[in-house]
Amino acid sequence: MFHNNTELIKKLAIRGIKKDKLRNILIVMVIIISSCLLTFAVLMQNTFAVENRNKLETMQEVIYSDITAESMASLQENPVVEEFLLQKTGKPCEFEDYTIKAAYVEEEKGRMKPFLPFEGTFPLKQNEILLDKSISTLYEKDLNIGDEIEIEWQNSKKEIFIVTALTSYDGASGNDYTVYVSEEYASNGSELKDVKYALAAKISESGSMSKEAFLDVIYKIGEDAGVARKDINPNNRYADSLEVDMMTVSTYITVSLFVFVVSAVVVYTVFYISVVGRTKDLAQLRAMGATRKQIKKIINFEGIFLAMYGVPIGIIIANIIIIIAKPSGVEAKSSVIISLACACVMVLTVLIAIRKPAKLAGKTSPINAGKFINEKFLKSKTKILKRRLTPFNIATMQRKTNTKKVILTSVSLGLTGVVFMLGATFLSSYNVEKNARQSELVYNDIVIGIKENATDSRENGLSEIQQEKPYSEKIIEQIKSIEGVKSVTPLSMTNVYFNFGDGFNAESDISAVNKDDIKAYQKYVEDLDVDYDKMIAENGVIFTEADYYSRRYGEDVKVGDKVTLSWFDGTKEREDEFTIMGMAEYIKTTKLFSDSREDNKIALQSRTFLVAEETLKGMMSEDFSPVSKLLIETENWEKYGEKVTKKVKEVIKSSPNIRVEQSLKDNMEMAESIYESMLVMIIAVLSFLGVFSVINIFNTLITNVLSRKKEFAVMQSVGLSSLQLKKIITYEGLLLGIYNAVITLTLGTLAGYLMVLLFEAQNINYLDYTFPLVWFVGYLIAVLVIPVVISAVAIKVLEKKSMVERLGED
Amino acid sequence: MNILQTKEVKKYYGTAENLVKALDGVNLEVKQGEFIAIVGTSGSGKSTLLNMLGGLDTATSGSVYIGGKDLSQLNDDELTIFRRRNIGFVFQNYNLVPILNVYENIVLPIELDGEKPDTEFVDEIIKTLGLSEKIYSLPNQLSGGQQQRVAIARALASKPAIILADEPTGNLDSKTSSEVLSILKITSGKFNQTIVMITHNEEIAQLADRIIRIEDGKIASQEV
Repeated sequence: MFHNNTELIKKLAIRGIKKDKLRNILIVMVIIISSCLLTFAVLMQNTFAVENRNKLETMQEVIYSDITAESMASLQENPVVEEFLLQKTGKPCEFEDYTIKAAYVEEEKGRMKPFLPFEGTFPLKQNEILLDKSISTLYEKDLNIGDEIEIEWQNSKKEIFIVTALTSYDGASGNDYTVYVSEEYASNGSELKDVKYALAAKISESGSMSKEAFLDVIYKIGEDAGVARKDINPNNRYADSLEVDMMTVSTYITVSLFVFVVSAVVVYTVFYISVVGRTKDLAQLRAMGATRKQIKKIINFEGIFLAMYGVPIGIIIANIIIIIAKPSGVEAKSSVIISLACACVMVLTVLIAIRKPAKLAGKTSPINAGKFINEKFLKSKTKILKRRLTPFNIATMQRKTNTKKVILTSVSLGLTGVVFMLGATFLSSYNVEKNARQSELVYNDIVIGIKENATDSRENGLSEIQQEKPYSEKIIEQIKSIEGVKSVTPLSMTNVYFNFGDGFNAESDISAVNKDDIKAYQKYVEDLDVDYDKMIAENGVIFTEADYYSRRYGEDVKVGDKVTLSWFDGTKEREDEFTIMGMAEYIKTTKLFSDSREDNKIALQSRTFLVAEETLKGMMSEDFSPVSKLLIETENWEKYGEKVTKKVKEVIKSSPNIRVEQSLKDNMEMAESIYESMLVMIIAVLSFLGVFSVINIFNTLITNVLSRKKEFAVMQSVGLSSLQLKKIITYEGLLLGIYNAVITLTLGTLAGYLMVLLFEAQNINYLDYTFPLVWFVGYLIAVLVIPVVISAVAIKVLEKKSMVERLGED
Repeated sequence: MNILQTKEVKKYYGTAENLVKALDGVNLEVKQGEFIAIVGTSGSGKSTLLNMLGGLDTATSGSVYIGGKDLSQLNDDELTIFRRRNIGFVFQNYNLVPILNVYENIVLPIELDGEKPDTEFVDEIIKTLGLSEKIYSLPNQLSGGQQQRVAIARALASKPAIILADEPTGNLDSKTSSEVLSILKITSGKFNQTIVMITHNEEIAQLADRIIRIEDGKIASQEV
């Protein structure tokens, strides 16, 4: 009768584990690090998702603005509207160096929390108000609860309020203030009584909808309540959160696969070497009657047993790190699910990794006992009779007889090297200035634009401001005459409303193109087939955001469609019908930004609708200038940049509606901070991998030396000096380092170069391939020094037993 | 002339109550070209004595002289170098280096010494031991008898002052044993080698010029 005594196998497995402490520590450490790395990566991703979800939880999912009393009632009664919050925003009142507007938002209702935590009590009476502390600069004194303040609205109208609540919002933007009033003021106060309400809503069970379904629902609710489509504003962040983000998913998969492969290779290597080193024990078990299956089981049990220690420890460490580093993104339920999933993946990794070693162990023949383990890797004969038997050559021979082990270790170390080179190449190739010089700053250094709050506050928006000529000839001349200014390039565009067929009315923008511009476009957009003269003759437009609009409004747009544009020509409202003669998806033209100075200008000037220069001229009043931005290029940024920026700021003070929108300096600072955070991230990943590699080298070298204790003793007995022994072991370590360095140099460099090409293909152009010399030299030193140090440890371990003792061992 | 001499060699392990006297004052003299067998039961101290003679282990007290050199005066490295130049070992379990072929195993001690092997001499040994066909083979391809012949060749190749053989036939069947022993005896005669062999097998010991019996770490008798 054949018995498979599981209890006995378990016992034997545990004995096997207890026998080799060093190996166990190594394997458990590998499992801990792998589990920690994997769990950490997934938990970290999850914290972003949780933070986003928590944030979205307090936000509205859609705002129906400008609603009538009937619409409001209809919305409020709709069972699909789960929660709602009323709000009103007054018109910004403009003063010389600031704007101020009154707003009313219901304090807190259900899950929606429109306000940051504040001190004091929410305004209830008509003369009570909630302010942000940043407004105190206007009054040149610190504001406290209970203070009386006078607010000046437009046309010198003044009102006195009592401060009942104060917020302190870090991100409060410079000079545009919003003050929050009571519901009573919203109904009766001068600034808000004529403003229509907006209703912010959360939709019932929207969390389980697709993005498309969600958008359909909110538009349907709005339309049923008589709200115009243009007044239905979905919270895009919320809508996007309903979609599976492929980028995040692919990051998960890549990180998990990477950790999986690296840890599987290391666990495999460690077990493989361990099994090979225990051939004799296993052979004895076989001799005593253990079947192949039982031997396999013993090794599998060992794996599971060690994983039982390593996996929970690693996962707990990852959770602790996350709890400390990002408490706001921790959510018990998802943490538990992720931890369990990672545990399963890791146990699976261990089981897969030890499959082969277990199989190998199973194959051990009972008569194998007592033989040198390495013999099974040896060929039967050598090709050369007399090889020089120097320590270096002996070390090389040893490597050659262990090709599989060498390949295994080299592959796992090489992977680390390749990742190292990817990170190092990114950092060394990262060009701060190129990253700072995106779109408008590719060829220019300073951008002047019209203040957004200025256009927002006008009935006719941008064109009304443009009619006032914020960019006067004088200002342009003054800027040109500043020392160090090389060129000033005006960009033109203005705003229009467009109308597709059945009543969709949306705000958009328009700019002019000439024949050459169209040719430039055609270089990038192959199927753009328009005749410039026909555009002039037949009121033709090129539409550049068809994809976006068809997504937004659910209507496909095609060439030949009619579109009605309405605009303010500087003096009066006008409207006309245009024919779409071409489509040029904006995204496809991004290469335009950097190819040449001319193309850059064309790209920057391209708006949603492009019409012939002659057409735009005819659309606007006689002396209208559609200039919207000035691009300033300096002779030499480093020399003049700061001075020019300062002077430009002075010059444009005379034109209240324009401001410095971007400068190379600000962008450079941002690009540098991106570099720094990348550096920290890459170093963190590399440290993890570094620990991995050291364990790997340690395991390979130590087990390699220990499994050949007797072989070394034999050589010593026939005259190998201790210096020669040290040399052999050290050379073996060095060879490992050299293989790794070669893999890193070749594959790593290639991978780094491909990464830069890949970034370029994605239109990310701030990487200039630079070989990371300093990084590589550092790496080289590490991969050469570490094996030598570990070899020294191996020699010490070896020397713990005297030569005679080792000679006597089997 | 004595090629090998020991004076009051003692090897003690442990302390006080647990003191084990592996060797307890061994005095021995061996002449050039002699073939000596050291016989004793398991645990009698014969292997310990051989380790002392070969400079593989150091004595607690007393001296071992080989060719007039006092081994106790040599440090570890000097001892190693002395060993590879003056002593050839033949072990029970052959102790060949698995990654080296037959030829390389034979010349290993010479190469480790940074010397060029005397090719003619080595070739002669290989021929005498019948290994000519096997010089490219790795040890794992050889039978036990063949492996032991390689070990003997290795011991002879560096023309040592003395060959120490520790149960050289312990792992071999009787036919191969006598074959190996006769080879050992013939070659030692041919190359005028001194051989000290350890064995527990009386029959094998009878082949020696002199038999030394060792009991409880002491020489019990010597017979010619």
